[in-house]
Amino acid sequence: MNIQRWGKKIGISEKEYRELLMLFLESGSADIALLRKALESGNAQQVARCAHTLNGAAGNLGLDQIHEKAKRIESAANLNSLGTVSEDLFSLKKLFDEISETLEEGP
Amino acid sequence: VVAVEKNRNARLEEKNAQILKAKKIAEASNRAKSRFLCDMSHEIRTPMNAVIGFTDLLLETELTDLQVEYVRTIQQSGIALLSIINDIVDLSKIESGELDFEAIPFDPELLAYDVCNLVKPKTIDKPVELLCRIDDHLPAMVKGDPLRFRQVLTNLLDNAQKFTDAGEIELSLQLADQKKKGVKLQASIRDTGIGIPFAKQKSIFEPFRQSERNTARKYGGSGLGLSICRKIARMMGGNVWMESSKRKGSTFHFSAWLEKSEKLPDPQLMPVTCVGKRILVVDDNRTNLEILDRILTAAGMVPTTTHRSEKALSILEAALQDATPFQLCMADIRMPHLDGYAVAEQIRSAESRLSKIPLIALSNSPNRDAKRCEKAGFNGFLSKPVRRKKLFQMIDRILQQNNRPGDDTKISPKKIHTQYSVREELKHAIKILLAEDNPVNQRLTEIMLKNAGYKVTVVGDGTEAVDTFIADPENFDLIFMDIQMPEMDGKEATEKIRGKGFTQIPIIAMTAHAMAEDKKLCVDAGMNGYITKPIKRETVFAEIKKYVYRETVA
Repeated sequence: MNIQRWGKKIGISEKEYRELLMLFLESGSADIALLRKALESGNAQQVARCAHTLNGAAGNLGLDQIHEKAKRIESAANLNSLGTVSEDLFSLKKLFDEISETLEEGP
Repeated sequence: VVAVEKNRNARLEEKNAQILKAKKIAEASNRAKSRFLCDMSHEIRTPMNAVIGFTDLLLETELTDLQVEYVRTIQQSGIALLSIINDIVDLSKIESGELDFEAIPFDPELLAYDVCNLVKPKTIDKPVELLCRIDDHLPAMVKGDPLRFRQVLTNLLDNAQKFTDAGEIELSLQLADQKKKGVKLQASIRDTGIGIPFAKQKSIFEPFRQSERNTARKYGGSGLGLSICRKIARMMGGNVWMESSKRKGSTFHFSAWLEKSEKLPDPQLMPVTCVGKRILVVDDNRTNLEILDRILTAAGMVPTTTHRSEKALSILEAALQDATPFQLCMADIRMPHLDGYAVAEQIRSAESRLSKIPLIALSNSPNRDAKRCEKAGFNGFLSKPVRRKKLFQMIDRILQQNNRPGDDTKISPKKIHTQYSVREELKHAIKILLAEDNPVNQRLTEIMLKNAGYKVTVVGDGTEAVDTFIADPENFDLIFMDIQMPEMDGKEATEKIRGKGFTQIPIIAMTAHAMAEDKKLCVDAGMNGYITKPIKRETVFAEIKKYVYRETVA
């Protein structure tokens, strides 16, 4: 993952993109926690809502893989089928870890 | 006999019913086909965008020359394919009756120049002059669908550019007719290109037709453009037609009925500095001289024009001797014999009473020429075709600077005025209220807007948006409003603001949903427009320009 290039893709500097990624990790982790809780209690509506938030923010940052996964969760939850969600949630978590590793590597 | 008659009638009726049924089925299946085409095209568009986007990224990596060439080819083919798909989407939307037309106020003059600027880069490497002529009677605002209007203009101008290797292309926009509630605008796009033989002039408006079999091979395109343009124009109560003769080039006309807009732009007072000033315009293109002459005269200035650059200096000298000196001189950069730089250098090294005259450069390629213009002694810089308002702003600024007390003996040669700097100053004055709850989106939009020079105030939900705006309505020029927010959502917040009598402030929705119903909800709530997420810089700026620029600049 090349932060500079991704920032450029949406037209902002590397520094600004880093800041946004940090923000995304922070707020996104909260969303993931909420999503997990909703999943455990079988609240499909809440799952969809959390996934929607993630999907929107990731889309704006050009984080396509997260965007896709979150979108899948959202569509599944909207159809009230939560069967595949935990698998996708797992890969979401991994993608988050990847971002945080890249951020730690520094510029 | 009666029985036979009855029998026949019954049979006829049955036949009729069958035919009617068959017709309905045919129509339904035709609609289904169009919708299928439309859906499929949409599905193809998404991955195509990724292909094009990633070739962009690929081009930024280290590649050999051969690889660059391959990637460029992929990219160009991708763009060509995408534009064909877009055409198909449009055509199938027209056929299935799903093409919606908006009714929003827009400035037709601004739109015409935007289209010129879009097409201009493609003419820069050819000896082609791109001109834009605006009728003095053109309304400052009309109401209709600016995107569709723009689509037709862009298509026609792009065609003209494709088929013209030398000479000029002129877009003129005029008021053709008016009624109580509507205005008919007519745009004419004249080129000096290859022209179209008489026998082919009808068929080019049919879908998938181009004038020659090998046209597509040489010039590209789907052959759908003109047929779409004509259909759109007819849906706007107008038409697209053409005149052409094989050697003289072609003229395409586009007319459309639009509503009169009750929304009027702020009155623009002509800067007093400009009135009565003598201005010399030097350009080898006579059409452009004629256009500039009209614009300047209409604004109360006293222009003199010449297409012979070698005469510029002697004209200035003669005027000085007659005690009617010029106050300003504008010169085209690209001229035969003596180009704009040479004219500027001549003037700057003339006698002292002449050498201080303010000079404005007119150029086709601003990025390429800016540095050299500054060196040659120009004070300002405008890119062609020149917009009236920009021209006045610059003349005003340069004359004022020249008249500043204590500074009247010497023009500061340090800072050259470009359109860009004038525009930048205006941008800083634009204040935006941004209501968005998601911290990532909030910050991203804020960064984009701030980087572009706008002033941004950020709030996290609808209640805050309403309170912040109402506390100081004068402090905002535009509101970006997320639709989904906790507490009070974007629609409710908009209704509150509108309900308190603030009907003028433009409110733009930001939403993840791109469906027509969502759009309708936004409009019903009193919003002026909407952008869909993911947020893209270009869309955000285009939207701001649509609502704010035309009131401050236009």
